[in-house]
Amino acid sequence: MFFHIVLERNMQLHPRHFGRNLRENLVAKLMKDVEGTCSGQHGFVVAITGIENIGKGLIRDGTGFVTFPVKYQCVVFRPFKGEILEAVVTMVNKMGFFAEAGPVQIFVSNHLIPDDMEFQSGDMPNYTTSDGSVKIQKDSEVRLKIIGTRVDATEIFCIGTIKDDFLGVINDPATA
Amino acid sequence: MSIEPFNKLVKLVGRAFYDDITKGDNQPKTGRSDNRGIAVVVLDALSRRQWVREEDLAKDLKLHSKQLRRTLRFFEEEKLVTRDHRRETAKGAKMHNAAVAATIDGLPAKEGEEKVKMHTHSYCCLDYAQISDVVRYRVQRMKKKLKDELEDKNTVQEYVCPNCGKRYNALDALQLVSMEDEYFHCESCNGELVAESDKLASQEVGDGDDNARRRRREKLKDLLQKMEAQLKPIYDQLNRVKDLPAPEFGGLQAWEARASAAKRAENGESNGMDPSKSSHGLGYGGTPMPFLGDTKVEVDFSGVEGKGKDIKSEADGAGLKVLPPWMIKQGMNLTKEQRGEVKQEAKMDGSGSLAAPEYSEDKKFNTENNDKNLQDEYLKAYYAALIKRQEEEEAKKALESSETRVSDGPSGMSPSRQVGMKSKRDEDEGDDNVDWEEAPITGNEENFKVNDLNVEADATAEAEAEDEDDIDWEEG
Amino acid sequence: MLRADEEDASELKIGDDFLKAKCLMNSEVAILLEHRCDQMKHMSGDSTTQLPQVLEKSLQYVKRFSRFTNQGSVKQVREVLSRYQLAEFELAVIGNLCPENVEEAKSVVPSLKTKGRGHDDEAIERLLNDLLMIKKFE
Repeated sequence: MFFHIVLERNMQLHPRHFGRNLRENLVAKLMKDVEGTCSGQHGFVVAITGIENIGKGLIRDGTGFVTFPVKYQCVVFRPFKGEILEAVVTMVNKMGFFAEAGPVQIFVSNHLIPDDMEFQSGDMPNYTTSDGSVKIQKDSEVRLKIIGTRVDATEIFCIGTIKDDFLGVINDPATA
Repeated sequence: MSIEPFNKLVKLVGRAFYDDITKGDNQPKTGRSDNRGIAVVVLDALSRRQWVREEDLAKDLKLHSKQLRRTLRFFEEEKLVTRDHRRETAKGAKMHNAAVAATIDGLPAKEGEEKVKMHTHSYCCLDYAQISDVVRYRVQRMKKKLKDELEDKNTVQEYVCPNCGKRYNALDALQLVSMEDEYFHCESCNGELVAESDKLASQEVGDGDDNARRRRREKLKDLLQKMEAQLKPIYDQLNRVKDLPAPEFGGLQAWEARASAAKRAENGESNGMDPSKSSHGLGYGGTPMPFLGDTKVEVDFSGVEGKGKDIKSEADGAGLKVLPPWMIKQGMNLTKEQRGEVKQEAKMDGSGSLAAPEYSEDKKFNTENNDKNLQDEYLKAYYAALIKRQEEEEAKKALESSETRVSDGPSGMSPSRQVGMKSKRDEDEGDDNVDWEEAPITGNEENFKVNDLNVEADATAEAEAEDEDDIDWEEG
Repeated sequence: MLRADEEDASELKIGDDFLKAKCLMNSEVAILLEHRCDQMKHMSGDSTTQLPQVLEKSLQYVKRFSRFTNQGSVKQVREVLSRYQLAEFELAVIGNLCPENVEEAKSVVPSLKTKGRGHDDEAIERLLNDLLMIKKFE
């Protein structure tokens, strides 16, 4: 799920960036530092959308660097266990398939794929129902439920299931 | 506070989960060295004690202290038992004896036995609060594991490397995926990982065909159902003790201090056994049952205590106080209603719900015996009814024990069957238990033991007999 | 922050921070990110500039899975859904997945079923209809 939240960060700035462009410099550095990062707590920081407040700077002993506490609004993406979302299949193999929802990767192991879907190897490996009506292959769109997340300092990885009501291949992606 | 529901839980749990534990004895169980069932005996024995020195317990149970210690260590790991060890002199040991004595009766401490110089002694005690937590957790985990597997939901698939045995799960998938083929590969040896087949359900191949899957599901469903049915007595008992305060003996030292204090208080008032007991209510609710039985005669005027100890006969005793003695008999008939006030008692028996009232009447029987002069006529009628009841009970028991024996035979073969067996025994024991625990009739006990631990029956029976001696002696 | 094993979006257990935070529907994120990307390209003065990966992937994703593309209707969706006493998270899930019927809605947002929240089937039905109308007239 995407959220719009306010985060805070202490930014260190070299005195050479001071002056009338201080604020711009600070914000530019914030974007460079923060966007695209991932933390277990807040998920992926996708984009900074605004600055709430820049606090008083504090001169660091000995270096001349100044630390500014900056409060900023940003869009984050944070997957939750139990969340249901849509994703694009990126790879299919005998063990299951991988899918992507924005910055996060999700693995659905074959035992969490409905029992009536069988793996077919080949150029375009896929899982297909016995009557051939439903097929999961690269680039398919699926709705899945996240059942586990693995959070590292810089990455979040999820496992999901499509073995439940109203989960699975999205019938008509054209509605999007 | 009542300890009995908790003891009942301990007994159920012992029989459900620890009956086939041979842990501690690493040797293959050949004939006599098979200590199957010892665990249950030990748990039961502990449920009749508070803090006890392990040596003494070993003596009482006629077990080798090493063997007992192994069992106790196991239970410590299982979080059912707390233990304490300390170096002490003979004097220290005596102090403990005095404390023990205080909890059971105004008995003089055993002399001359432990003239040890400076020795490490170990003590153990059931930790009731923890037991109910642990068991609740265990049961819940069992259920969840089965359910998850059954629904294939929210289960994180596990993988194992057949070459080096390294294990992974689905959350590692990103690191395991290979660009060359469609399998996962071991990070250390690049072996092709295999999905671990569902742990409980099948030894069949992991990603087997549809049929295998279906069979697995059925098996799981079956297992779950069996579990629900067979653990029902434990669920029920857990629910019963949920809101009860768990008996709390405190640490060894605190317990001894309290016990000694109690004893002193007791010496103050000649008749004071019961008052003293209720005064440190928590710690002493659990005095050995047989003893309580004996007390009961006196309880007749101090009905209040009846509530503290939750033996039905005493509850009846409370009634006794108010009513003319001959009314007791009606009280007896009332036991069913009275069960209202001793609800847990009555329900506690689950399968053996008959046994409890029966027992109380049994007790009454004794009481009446004492007061015979008062109530001859009524008694006659009562006896008649009682005997009839007992006969029925006896018959039932006989039936059950024979069942037990039969069912005991093949246990230890397939896991699922064992589960089945266990809980069956559970129920049986439920009945036996009640008799055995509450009525100090050695014959009964032996019977029970034999049922339970066909091997070593002699030894344990003896042990129990000795146990009995103990108690008699305490009573004396 | 919740421990990972306590987290469960189906029961709205997503931690206090996120429960209070504003959840964004994919359609809303798409608008925000497109704006941000334009800004970036403008700043670098190069329309072919490489976007940071997280931003790029997110943008692709929300563009692909936006149910509503018209800025006006996106706004309308939030307005309409806000009338139904939904938690932010629930609102966003419904807005993202646009369930077709009550059963599906309750399945993808199990917390709707929580007793005493006044989400009877009828209310959910109305809500879904409202969504459908917006979609139709987009």
